[in-house]
Amino acid sequence: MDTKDILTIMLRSGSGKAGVALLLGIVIISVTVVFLFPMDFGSKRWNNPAAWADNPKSVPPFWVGLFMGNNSIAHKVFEVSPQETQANLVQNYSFHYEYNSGKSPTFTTLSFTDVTFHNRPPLLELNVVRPDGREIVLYQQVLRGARPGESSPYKRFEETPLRVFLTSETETLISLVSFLEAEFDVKTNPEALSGLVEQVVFGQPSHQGNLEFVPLNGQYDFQILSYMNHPSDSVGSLKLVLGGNSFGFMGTDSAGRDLALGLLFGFPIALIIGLTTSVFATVIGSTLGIISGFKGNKTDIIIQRFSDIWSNVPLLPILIFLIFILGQKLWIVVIIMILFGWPGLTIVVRSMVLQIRTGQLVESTKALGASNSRIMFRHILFQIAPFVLAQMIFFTPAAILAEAGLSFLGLGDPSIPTWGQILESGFRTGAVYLGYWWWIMPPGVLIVITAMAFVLIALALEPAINPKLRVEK
Amino acid sequence: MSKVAIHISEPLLEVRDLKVNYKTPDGVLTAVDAVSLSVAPGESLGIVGESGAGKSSMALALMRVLPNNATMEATAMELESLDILKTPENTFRRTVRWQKISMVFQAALESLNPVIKIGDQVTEPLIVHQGTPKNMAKAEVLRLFELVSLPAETFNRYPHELSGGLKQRVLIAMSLVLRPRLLILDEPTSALDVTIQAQIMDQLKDLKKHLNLSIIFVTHDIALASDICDQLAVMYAGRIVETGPTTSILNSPQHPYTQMLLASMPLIKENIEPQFIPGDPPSFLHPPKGCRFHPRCPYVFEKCTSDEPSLINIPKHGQVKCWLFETKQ
Amino acid sequence: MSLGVTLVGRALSLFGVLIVVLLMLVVTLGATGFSDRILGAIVNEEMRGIREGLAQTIRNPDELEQVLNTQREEREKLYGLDKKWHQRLPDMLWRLMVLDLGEARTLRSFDGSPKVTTIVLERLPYTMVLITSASIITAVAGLAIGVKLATKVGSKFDRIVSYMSAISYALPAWWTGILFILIFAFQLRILPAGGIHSTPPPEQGLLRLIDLIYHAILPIITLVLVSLGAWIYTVRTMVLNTSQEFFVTVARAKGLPERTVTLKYILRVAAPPIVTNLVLGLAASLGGAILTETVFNWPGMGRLYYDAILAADEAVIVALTFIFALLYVTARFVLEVLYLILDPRIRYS
Ligand SMILES: Nc1ncnc2c1ncn2[C@@H]1O[C@H](COP(=O)(O)OP(=O)(O)OP(=O)(O)O)[C@@H](O)[C@H]1O
Ligand code: SF4
Ligand SMILES: [Mg+2]
Repeated sequence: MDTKDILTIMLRSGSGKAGVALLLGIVIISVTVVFLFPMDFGSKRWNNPAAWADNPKSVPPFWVGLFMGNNSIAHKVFEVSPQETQANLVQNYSFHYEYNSGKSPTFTTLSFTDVTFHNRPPLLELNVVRPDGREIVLYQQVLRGARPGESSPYKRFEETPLRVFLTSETETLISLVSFLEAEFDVKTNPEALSGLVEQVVFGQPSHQGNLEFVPLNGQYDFQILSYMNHPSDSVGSLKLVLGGNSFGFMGTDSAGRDLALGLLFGFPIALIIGLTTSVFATVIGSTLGIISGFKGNKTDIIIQRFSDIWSNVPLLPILIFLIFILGQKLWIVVIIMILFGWPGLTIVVRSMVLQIRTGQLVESTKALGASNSRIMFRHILFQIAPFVLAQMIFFTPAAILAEAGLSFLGLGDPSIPTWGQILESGFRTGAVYLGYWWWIMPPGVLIVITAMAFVLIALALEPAINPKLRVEK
Repeated sequence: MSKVAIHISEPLLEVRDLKVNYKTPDGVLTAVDAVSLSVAPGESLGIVGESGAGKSSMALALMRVLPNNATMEATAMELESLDILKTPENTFRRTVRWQKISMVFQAALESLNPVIKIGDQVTEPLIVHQGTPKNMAKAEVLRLFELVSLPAETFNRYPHELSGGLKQRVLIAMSLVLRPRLLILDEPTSALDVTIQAQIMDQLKDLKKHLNLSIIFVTHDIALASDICDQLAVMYAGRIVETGPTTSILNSPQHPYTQMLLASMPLIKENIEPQFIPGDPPSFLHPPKGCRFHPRCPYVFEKCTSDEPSLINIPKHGQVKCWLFETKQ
Repeated sequence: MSLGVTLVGRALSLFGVLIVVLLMLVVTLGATGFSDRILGAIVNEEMRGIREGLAQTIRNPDELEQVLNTQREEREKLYGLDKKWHQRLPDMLWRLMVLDLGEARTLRSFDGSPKVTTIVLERLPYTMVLITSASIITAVAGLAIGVKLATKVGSKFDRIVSYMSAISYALPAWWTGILFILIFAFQLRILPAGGIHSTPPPEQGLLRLIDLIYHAILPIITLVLVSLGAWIYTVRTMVLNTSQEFFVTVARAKGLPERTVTLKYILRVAAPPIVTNLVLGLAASLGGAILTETVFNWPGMGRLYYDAILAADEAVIVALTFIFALLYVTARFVLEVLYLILDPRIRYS
């Protein structure tokens, strides 16, 4: 049976077609991700809370918002990066926000980066003009001046932006108290307003003198002003975020991480884990099997004894122990899985080699004078190749599932996000009990689909290896 | 002709137009086509043909134990005037299999259950069909073991502990436990070396004489068949191409294929080089048109390539399936 | 006689497995300095108790320190901390082997004991209940369905089940469990999401048992589901392989009833390879149990693993790893004895 026959048999079956199609899709996504994502995505982005600070936490995907009607509030980000030189000492940026929902935004943040000043620090201000023409100053702050020993020009917030969480900012609360009193004759205090910032800004009291608010839909004009004192003072990018209750293609987790990105990154990682493990384990396993079956005698006995013992070590407990002790590194996981993955194959391949060895093919080649090692690797490999290939394909999902299980126990590599880890953080933080299905379902589904792709192909390969199972149509 | 065949007119087994089809991934192949045969009580019929001629398929069809992907049909199949073609499966199993017809299968080495002791497998038909108590069944089987020269301790052995020759004897003993009327032997000796083959053939001849068995002896070895058979039927590509008494077929083969088959036999006495039959056996999936033997036949003429000959009676000989004999009739 | 030899051979090989696991444990612990830390922690813990005790009687602080120092040295000697880790190896091996597993750092047994042996062993019955009931259900259902399937190769039913077994092979136990919790505990609200007893647990014995079973349903179904598919497929393949053996045709020709043919000539012959596959699947089902217990907060050894990882309690992790290996090796030996009984070809060769 040659490779072409195997391919034909495999592709003849429905499961073979489905498996190959799935695998192709997974490979395409993985390659794309490898090109588009930075290598240090895990440590620099995924596990860096600052990178996700402006996202809403634990919200479903945006397309869920489409079904929520008036209860949906979209996530909104306004961002500008001003040019280097500004003629004016006052910089002014405005954003128009079309507010059209029964819910107010879930939170509001304002961020500045890269502030440079020469003598006195700039004053930053955010105000909004509402559809009813009323104006609120939401934030007004002079940045801290020069520190002792510091010399001009002073630079601030180069790496980490100044991030103002208006939802609980005292300045804002005080400003809103006076706004309510002046405009609606509502007397209150900052403590009473905490948690109500967005409702006040984007609504009006349901009736006079009350602390219940109804949304006020329409156009909101936000204005960010920075008052500078020196012509070469500058403020870098500005960002205003109005939090929504849905986000991105796959929603977010409790840290606001965009699950779509984590899930995408999981594709190449799963493939690498599965394929590296299975390729190395099968190569080691079949090589040792061939050597064992071909050399016989002492070599055979030693290899077989060793494989027998080695194959009986239960993998998951050992993985847990070793990773716990040696540290949570993906490459260690892969190496351990390779180390414990080969012996089963060695035992089977050896018995196949013994069968073939007594067959005529090798005998006749020997008669023709081929060297020992060539007989070994050309003829025997040729005959066991289909079987070994099937084993490799079958072993791939096993490795993916083992890594996922380990990650689920909290032993994943923190610098490389995998589907198992996404699920684990969901499980650990109670996403299951809170019903955050967008956090729990997709990683599991992706693990299952990826494993399925390989299982389906292996299933389709089986009749090629075991003709007894060939089914007449 | 033996005396028995003359004074019992009623044949033991009568088969008309037996056909066996196999479904394969590449299409349907007809392994046995329009085969008719009859066996008289106490008579033995040899079925001879090269590998793949459809001999085993025919034998399995007679026991109705073809593999799942096979179907069979016939216009008649009678055993002692009992229609064994249409008998319901359950009745056939209970009344015919092993009791009336038993068989020694070609794959002797694979015919025994590897995890059950020999004794249990051989006594099993006695216990299942006749309700014989275990110890009596054992006594009976040990008697049979002696008949086929098997040591008694074989009874408590497992199959993997026996040599091929011993297994073959076990199978012969097993085929006889219910004293069947008809015994089908499918290549009973082809897996064995020559000395053991001779021993077993001698025993079979003895058994035939003692038990007044009818035998269908299936083999590719025409010499072996002629050693034990009264009648011969030569099969080629699923069809019987020549039948007749052993002596006349050996002495004056009529069908070109039979002639070549005989010529290919090594005859030690006469010092003639055996002649190999040129060409390959035909494909069952795409059989040649007309006479199936025509691509290899030295006498082929035009008619042979378009029309298939039917069996033609040759007086004092038998039947031959060849256009050469049409005019002679 | 040779049956005995074979058995002893298997036992030795499996004992070898235990030794390998043990060595792996102690060498890793020793070489990474973990064992020094574990033992150091034990000594510190004991010293604290001694200091409290002595502080009552010895008033002079200098004298107290001196006494304490000699005490500490004695203890360090006792635990072998004065020696290099590889010099301690035989002792460590021995202690693990006799289940002298030390004390946990933070985890406690149900009644508050810090002894690792107590903590781990009191969880054992819970794990056994899950694994054995799930295995029995899987084995029986898999045999019934697999044999049925083998008679219908190529049928629609066969194809559907083949696909389902592929899916079940690809289904991780823990995710299936989570899915079930989402569906049955939170959507349909018919089964509990985890634990072994309702709060408060029923007092009366029978009600308590029923409550336990009620809590075990989801974990058991999960375990069954994730292994059933592969198992059905194995049985089907083995039965199919055997049913095409020639001796099955011979059995039919002998006029044996179909039931006898199936039982004696197919199932009986397919039993050894089926048991082999059971053996091969054992490690996987053990792993499945570890994860399933975690998901369902089932207080067995698997859940203890999770808790120990969260609490970074290495003594418990070491103990669990060893006991899981022990459990595996024992189950494996039982199955191999079964195999030897089933297959005369091995038995006598
Ligand atoms: N189960 C099967 N499925 C498909 N084709 C089969 C099957 N069994 C036999 N055949 C085909 O039927 C034809 C006849 O086979 P059969 O075994 O009856 O021949 P034979 O004469 O007994 O040959 P041999 O001397 O080798 O035993 C062959 O071409 C064979 O390939
Ligand atoms: S019919 Fe023609 S081809 Fe066939 S055997 Fe006779 S002569 Fe040859
Ligand atoms: Mg045959």
